[in-house]
Amino acid sequence: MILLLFSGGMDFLHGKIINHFRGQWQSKLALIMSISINLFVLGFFKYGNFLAENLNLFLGDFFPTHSFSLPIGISFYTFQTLSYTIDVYRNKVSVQKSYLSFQLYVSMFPQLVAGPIVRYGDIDTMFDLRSTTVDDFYEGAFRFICGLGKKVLLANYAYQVYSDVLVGNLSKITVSQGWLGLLMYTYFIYFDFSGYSDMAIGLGRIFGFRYPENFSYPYFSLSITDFWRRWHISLGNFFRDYVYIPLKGNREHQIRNIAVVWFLTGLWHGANWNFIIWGRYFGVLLILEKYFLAEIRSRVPVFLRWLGTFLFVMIGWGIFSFDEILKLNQETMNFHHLMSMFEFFQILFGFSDRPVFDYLSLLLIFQKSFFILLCFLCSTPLFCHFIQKTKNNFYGYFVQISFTAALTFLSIVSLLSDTYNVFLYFKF
Amino acid sequence: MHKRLKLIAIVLFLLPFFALGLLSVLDSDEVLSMEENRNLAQKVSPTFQTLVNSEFTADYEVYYQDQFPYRTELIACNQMINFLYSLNIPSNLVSFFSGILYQKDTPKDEIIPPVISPEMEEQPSELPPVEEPVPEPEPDLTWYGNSDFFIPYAEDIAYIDSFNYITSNSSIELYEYTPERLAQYAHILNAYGDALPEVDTYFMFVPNSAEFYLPNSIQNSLDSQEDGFVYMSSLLSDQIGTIDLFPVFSAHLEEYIFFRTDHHWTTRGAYYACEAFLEATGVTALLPDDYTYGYREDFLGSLHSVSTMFTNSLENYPDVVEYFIPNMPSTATLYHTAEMTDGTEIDLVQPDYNLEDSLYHVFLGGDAAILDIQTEVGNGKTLVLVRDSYGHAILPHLLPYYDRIIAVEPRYFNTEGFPSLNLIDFVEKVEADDLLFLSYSIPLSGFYWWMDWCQVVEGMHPNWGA
Repeated sequence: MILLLFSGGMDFLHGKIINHFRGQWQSKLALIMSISINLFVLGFFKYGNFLAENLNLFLGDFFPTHSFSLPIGISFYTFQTLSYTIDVYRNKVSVQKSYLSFQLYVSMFPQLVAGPIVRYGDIDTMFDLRSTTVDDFYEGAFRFICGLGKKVLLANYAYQVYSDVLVGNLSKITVSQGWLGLLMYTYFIYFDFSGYSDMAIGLGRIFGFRYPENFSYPYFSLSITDFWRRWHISLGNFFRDYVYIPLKGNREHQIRNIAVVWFLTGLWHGANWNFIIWGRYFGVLLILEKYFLAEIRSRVPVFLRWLGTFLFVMIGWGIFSFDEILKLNQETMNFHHLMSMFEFFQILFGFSDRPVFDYLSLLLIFQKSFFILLCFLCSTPLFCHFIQKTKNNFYGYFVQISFTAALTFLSIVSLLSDTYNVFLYFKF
Repeated sequence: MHKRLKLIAIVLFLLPFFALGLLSVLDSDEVLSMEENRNLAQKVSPTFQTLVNSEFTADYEVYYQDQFPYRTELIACNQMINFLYSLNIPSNLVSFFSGILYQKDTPKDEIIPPVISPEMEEQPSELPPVEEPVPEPEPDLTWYGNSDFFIPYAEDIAYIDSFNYITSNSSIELYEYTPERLAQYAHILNAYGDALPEVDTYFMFVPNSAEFYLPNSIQNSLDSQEDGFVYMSSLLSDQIGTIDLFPVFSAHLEEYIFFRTDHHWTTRGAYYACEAFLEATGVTALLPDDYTYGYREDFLGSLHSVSTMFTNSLENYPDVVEYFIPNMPSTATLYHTAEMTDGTEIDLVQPDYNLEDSLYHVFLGGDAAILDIQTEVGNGKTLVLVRDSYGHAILPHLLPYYDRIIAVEPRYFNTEGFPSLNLIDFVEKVEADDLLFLSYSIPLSGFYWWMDWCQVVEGMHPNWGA
């Protein structure tokens, strides 16, 4: 909380200085200070331990590590306030005169914890002029409940299956269990993240704000480039506008620029080697796609392009979640862990002595088959398409209202069921 | 028109939230959840410290979840979600899957029996004929009465994950072999053995029904409890005698040795374990001439509560709690501290136990921190039994063999809010001849997270204790 107020206060001040001394050296200094302070705060809390532990490998226990927990939303609000000062400096947005309005922007709870990254320019006109109509409330509430349903009814359960099948089980999984676990993580992360974004967008709408979209059916992408245009759009746009283009984007050193952006993208997601490898993995895929696969891709049937993209994305999630699969619990990955990652992919691709199926795998796959189908269907635009089609007739409203009521009820039931803990060891 | 419909929708959206909020304030708080077998969180008052360290908000969230209006009824509705998310697997499909893979699987161990079903009995065996084993003499079960409540475990699957295996008539906890945890426990037991060289110390690892009643094909995909026992035994010093219950239970698989809806063994299972323990101490178990036998029907145990998230079918196959107690003079006194003062006399078996929580409480009436049982056997022998709830059902069977049996429940000592107990001093003080550590397999499994059994037993050792 204190950090949030500090971050907001500092950048409000920096914005004022930049605006007041526009075109003078003080303006540049304020921008540099804003960038440095934000990156230092983020670096200290999020990457401090990671950096210290890795440097200590060479220097003994030279750097102390801290035990602070990561402040909530730090990755999001530092980027938001950064975008504000940079945009004020670039004269793309007007400086905010009211500290309260600025702090409202920084601490807006719907999107504070899990995005989307709302840039100041996205909503600057809405602080004073926003209004909430019946339409806004209706659409916002519907969007919120859809997000809640995604999170509670799909993401939580997908995570439960992933966790049950894969987490801590590397020594015994079969090939099919490995893929089932990975598929569940793939759906978990989408429904979790996009569910939060839907809830944020819906709540924002209820309060009169229009937040940018953050996801656009990413699992129906036909290439990795396409995937990253549909996945966490606000982050992609942030890195494009504040890193890639300033590095001269496509015009000079494109490969280097892509490499830098994807190194940072990986690092932004977490302070561990798996995230860095994950960023690098997508960086390499994007470079390959851009320079070598563009022509071949156009000759491949659409279904195979979709399937190929989906598989590469799934593999990416295998790298991304590997610290969790190993149950590392914030521990920094070492060489031994990286070798385990290699073994994990050996298992997935059948280069190990693990069977493709065992009895348990067959049972699990059958047992979860409806859920897998449901996840697949919910990740397509089918449902949204249906809502749009029936939007303006009575039956459409009826369906939408019934659906919202059912989702609300089922979400409450499911949330409560997570608290149902049969305690075998009490009073026995 | 559209605007009006949207207004109605908005009201419908807001109404349940306000209604639930209002109900949360108005309804009275529950204390106990029978289904979950636990106390529900109660309202907490904020203090400056708990507000600053977020403890208050975390506690209040737990309280609100536990006291949510119509919580039990709403949770019951979750079954329909689970019904879709975890499809029931009918027995013919289970057999089909088994058929696909059966030839690839080699039976993990001879002690794992095939689940008996008419279909399987009809299948021609492809295995070479095995020499008929010499039949063992049938045990005299007359002292159990003439009833036999065993029914075969169903072959369909209502739900399976790493922790639970639920069929239409049984719910079984699964075991995870975790060498680190077993090594830790062996290390602790060795320390007790070293500290008490004059006392005969034993360890009884009680496997649960998962080891015996799951189909071979599923067994091959799971960790073996016997592997866990063998590994742990290999780490125990000569000072610790081990009791191997795997062959003991394997010889009685068509008897009612485990409940199907509860995580405990039955009085029969406990009796066979008692026989094995006595054998390890060099004593031959003799069936008493005079005893009281009875049973209570319609027992739906703790694992039935787990199963209700997926199926109601177990309600059609309730368990029966048989009890047996030798008719001999004995007194059992319950104490809450190691000093054993202010005791309360209780009955080892309470046939009329009528609280709704669990009929397993027919034994002792529930947990007991220290139970001091005095008999008039006259052999001068004292046993200290360090046990979990599996110990409840074994106590009546031990009566004819000891002058004094003191059952200690480690979870009631050395943790916050409980008195301390130094087990070594305690054993020396009561001049015990035998010391038996009894634990069922699941608390020694990697899946177990509610309470660390190793830690509570470790807590009673003066070098490690709190």
